[in-house]
Amino acid sequence: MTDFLQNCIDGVMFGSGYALLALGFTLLFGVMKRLNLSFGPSIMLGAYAGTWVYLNFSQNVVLVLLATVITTVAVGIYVERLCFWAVRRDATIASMVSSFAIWMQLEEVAMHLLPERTYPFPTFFTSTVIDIGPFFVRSEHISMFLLTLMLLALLHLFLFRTRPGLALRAVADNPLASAYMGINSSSILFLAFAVVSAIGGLAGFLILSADSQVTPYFGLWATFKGLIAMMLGGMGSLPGAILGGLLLGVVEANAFWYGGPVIRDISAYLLLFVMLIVRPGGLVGQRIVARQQAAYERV
Amino acid sequence: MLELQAVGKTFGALQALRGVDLHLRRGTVSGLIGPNGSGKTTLVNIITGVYAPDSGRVLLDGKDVSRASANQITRLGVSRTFQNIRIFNRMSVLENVIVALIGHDKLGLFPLLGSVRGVGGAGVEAARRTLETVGLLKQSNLFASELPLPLRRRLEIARALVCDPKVLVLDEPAGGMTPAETASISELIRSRIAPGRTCVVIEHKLDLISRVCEHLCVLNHGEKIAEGDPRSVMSQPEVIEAYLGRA
Amino acid sequence: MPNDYLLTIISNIGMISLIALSAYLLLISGEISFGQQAYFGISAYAGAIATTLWGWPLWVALLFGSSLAALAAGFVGLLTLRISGLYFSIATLAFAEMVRLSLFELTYQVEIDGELIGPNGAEGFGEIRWIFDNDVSVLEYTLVIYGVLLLVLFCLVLIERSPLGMIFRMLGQDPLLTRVQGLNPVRYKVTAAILAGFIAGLGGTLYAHSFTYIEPQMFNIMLGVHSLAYGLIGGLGTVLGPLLGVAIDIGFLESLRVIQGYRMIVFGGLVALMLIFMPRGILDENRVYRLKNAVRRWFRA
Repeated sequence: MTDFLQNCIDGVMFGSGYALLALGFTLLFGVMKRLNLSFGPSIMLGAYAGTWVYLNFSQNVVLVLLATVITTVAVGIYVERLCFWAVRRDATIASMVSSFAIWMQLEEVAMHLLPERTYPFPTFFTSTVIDIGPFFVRSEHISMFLLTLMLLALLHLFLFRTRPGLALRAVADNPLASAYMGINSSSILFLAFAVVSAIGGLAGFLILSADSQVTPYFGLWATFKGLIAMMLGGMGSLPGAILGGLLLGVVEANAFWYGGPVIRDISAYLLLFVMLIVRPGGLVGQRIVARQQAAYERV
Repeated sequence: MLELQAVGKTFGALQALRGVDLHLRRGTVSGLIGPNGSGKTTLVNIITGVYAPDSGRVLLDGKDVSRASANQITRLGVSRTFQNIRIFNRMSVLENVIVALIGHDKLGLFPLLGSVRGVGGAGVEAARRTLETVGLLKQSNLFASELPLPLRRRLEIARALVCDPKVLVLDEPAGGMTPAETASISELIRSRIAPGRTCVVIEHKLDLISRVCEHLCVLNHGEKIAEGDPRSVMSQPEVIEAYLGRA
Repeated sequence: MPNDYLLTIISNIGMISLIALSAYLLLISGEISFGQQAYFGISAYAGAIATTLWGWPLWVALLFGSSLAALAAGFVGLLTLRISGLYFSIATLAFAEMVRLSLFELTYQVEIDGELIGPNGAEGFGEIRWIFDNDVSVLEYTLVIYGVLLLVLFCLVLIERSPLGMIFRMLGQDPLLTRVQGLNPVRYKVTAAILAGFIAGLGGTLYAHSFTYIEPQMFNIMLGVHSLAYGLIGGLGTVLGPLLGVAIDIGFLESLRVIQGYRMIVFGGLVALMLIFMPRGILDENRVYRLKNAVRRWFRA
């Protein structure tokens, strides 16, 4: 029982990393009703930039962080222009497939830029173990968890208390009406991608610092974990992203403990598969029934 | 023939229909009119099985079809067109009509490998005849997306007509048309389509209604406010108020 | 006698075309599946086990592997009946990854001639020696592959011209309208899934025997996205569309020495551009229609 609870604690801590990734996905989906499958690789390129700075330029943590975030945003904008802005509004799946294609591109670029298998990534977390009764927690995980909550609060503030945030929500709701209100949905898409990429860069920085290394598999990994966490929580929902990330973390931690790394990964996908079939709206979403959906379509 | 008993439907906080009774007699053309938002299309969607009523019943030839799905209702002999035109844009005009026959097993689902696209065949013949009835025979081989709006509406009518339905529902067949186009399609409906067939026509345009309908039913805010022959219904004060507002 | 290198490329085009056709079938009936590689992989392993460990002849193994794949596809098709669009696509992705990861745990070895042969988790499954044991040359095997491909193409063309083909295309354009025509989509969605799974399966078993070595990593997302991309690039208006896409990638891009090592960048960029300017591919429905009409008119003249 102790093991199980320890796993749950580990899961919640690690899950906050997933939650951060999911936040990026869900914000974009909430605003643009589209999935960006190049999210992970964009972050990876950002991380590579950070690593490059760390190895060749300066070991200053802030500079590395800036390099990571700025590069992620730059790559994000590239993806945005090619896969989302240029594609017809209602072709949501086309955007998704397109972003998958660009993911292939980005992976190859990454391979050419940094051909080694792993690179060190700076860590600014001091790693200590904190004992709480029969359980223990690693300090860097607690830091990540708290930072995630802070980020969620900041995001909420941004969306609900600022004018750009309001514009974002307006476009998410009804782009045509927003256009009539003078909101340029193209700029909003740009803004959304920039914000999302920044969060992604930050998430990547935190996760990789805790890990203290970056490998070429990070891109794929980040995309899938973020995607799974988002869908578990419910697409388009910010609190859902957090819940989904934590749920994923807990399930994975226990699966790993009792079954090993492969079982852990299978469980993640199994959880996603079952959730999609039984409750596609996720933890937070409503039960979507196909026939009801027709009622909301303008038939 | 087609009967609605106390049909109600709610979408979230909006009650689209409330206690609507309707009785369509065989072979008559009934018009369903009312301001926008009065629930006409919702009613038609319930009749054709797109969604089920929250209360009340729908009876087709005495059989309760309230919970039947759209494909089941179509097979029972109800055909329809759509207010915002639904056709298969990536198929030809001829194919758009043939597809209706597949659903009615007229072409035989098994064996599924009978040729449809080749020249000849009873299905293709029936489709051509129907296209001729609506005046689209010349455009048979055009890609559906290339048709202008009035012809698209005719295509939808052809598709609904080809299986000789017991009940034909036309949802704003003259929507978006100029007066000349409206007159043309009214004449088509009146002379070639309506005779001997049970029809429900949703329409705003009074000239089409007066030319085509023998019976009118007026909805407002989800309730039936008048019913009867066109002349007397149109002169009722509630109906005038619903459409034009109080003086 | 064409050299073996060229024959290998031609073989690959043939086998990959099968998984491309599999994804294409689902694309035209309205669903984007990121998971056809699962059925390709299931059949690869099953077929290879059948010939290598159980001593079955190739054509029986082919049917066995493909049927297993079709069964799995039908199972997934049934489970995903009530979801569509994005949810469906992600679900297929999840299933395919589950299959791939499960293959890491698959160990089934049999002693043959003093050696342990069979799938061994991450180490893969080697010594799939049917071609060598039965003295089949590279040329002969290439002909086998294309024989199967031609048979599949023939069946798909028949379906295309039949009511079933029309129903698939109707579903791909407007499922609600399809219902209103009196058709219950359920039957056809599952049929499409099973057919697509079977076709992918054919490719899988042939692939295992051509390569003589398979491992779980071969059946990953990349394969799935590629199989989709071929239809999207080549065109969704005809069965020749996905073949065109495969030919462009494996035939053309692969051989362009100038972009050696950058093939993904070019291919990925190509897909993205196509989705902007020609979302239904080069041979889309409209273009195919015009071509057919033109041919018809030319014959009449």
